[in-house]
Order: sequence, then structure tokens, then C-alpha cells
Amino acid sequence: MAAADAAQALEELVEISSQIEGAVLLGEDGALVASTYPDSGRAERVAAAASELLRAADESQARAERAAIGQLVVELPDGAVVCVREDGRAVAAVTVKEPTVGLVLYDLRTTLRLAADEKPKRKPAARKKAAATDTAAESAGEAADA
Amino acid sequence: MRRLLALGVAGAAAGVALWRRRGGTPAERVDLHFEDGSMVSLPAASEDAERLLGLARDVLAAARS
Repeated sequence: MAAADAAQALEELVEISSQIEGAVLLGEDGALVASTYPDSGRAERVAAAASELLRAADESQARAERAAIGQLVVELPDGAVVCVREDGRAVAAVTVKEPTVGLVLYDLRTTLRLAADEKPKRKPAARKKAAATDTAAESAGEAADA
Repeated sequence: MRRLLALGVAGAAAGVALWRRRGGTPAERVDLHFEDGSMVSLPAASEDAERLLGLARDVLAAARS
């Protein structure tokens, strides 16, 4: 996976999701692969903190003798940290407070697949376009009714 | 008079409790989703939840600094 492709996938992620403030993509070793943060120092700090969070979650999972962790959601009063992991790679996002968790998880999973050059079932951008089309159709319908 | 004051204090405490319960203070929550499709919400006061909440605060702080 090229870092440029991964960075582009992350850029698209924050473009389509108003709930995601920023995100980092971590490699199998937990190191930073790409991020949405222009400041590399900040990107490294976020990646290190997210990697530590995932490691702690893994320890918790190991103690509970459960299957591996695929997704982690930590909600705080002023925002949330949402992580999705697949094939060793992980994407961690910082969101606004009280996000629509299911939607954020879907977008992160799609981004992870895009970054790996896999063809997702549905591109994230399609959601916005579909919503816009629905709205236009509704408006047209209302205008016709009037 | 004292009884009235005690009633007032008790009423205020109940009001604050109700406000918090209705979402005045957003809750802190830790959800672990496992690859087998199962999910666990860690009890808020548990050691694991406290640790993960602390680390998530670090992520937020690093992202917003």
C-alpha cells in the first residue's frame, strides 16, 4: 500500500464525514502510515497514542479470552476515538462529541479497504450523492404536489 | 424553616440527578467489538475501562493540541 494512496483515502474520509475531525492509519507494527494532520509531529503523537490505546484494548481482550478486537469505540464527553482494524492494519479517528457510531465505523472500514486498494462494495462518497439525489427527488415531488 | 431548607436541598439534588440521567452530562463509554461479531461494553468503573478512557483522552488531546 502506497502512503500516498492511504493519505488520499484518509482525505476522502474527512471530506465525506462531518463527524470525523481527523484520522491516522497505522501499519501492522502500530507505526504511522498516513494521517489527515498536516503537522507531522501531531500526526506522530496521535498515532502513538492510538497505538497505545489499541495495545491496551488487546490486553483487555486477552485477559477476557475473547476473539481479536476488530473495532474499538471510546466515547468521551467532548468527542470519541473510534478504531477499526483489519489484517493487522488499523485506522483510528477522532470524532465530534456524540457521533453516529455505526456510520463512523462504516466509513472507517471502507477507508481501510480503499487504502489497501481493495474495491469496496460501495464508495463512501456515494452516500452523499445518494442523499443529495433523494433530497432533489423529494423537492421535485413536493413541487409537483403543489 | 430547617425542614423547608432540607426539602429544598433534596429537591435540588434530585433535579441534578435527573438532568444528568437525561443526558445533561454525556456518558463515557467503552465498546469492544470482536472479530467473531460479539461486542462488550466495559463497565464504566472497571479498571480496563478507566485505562482505555484515559488513553482515549490522550488521543483526543494529541489530536486537538
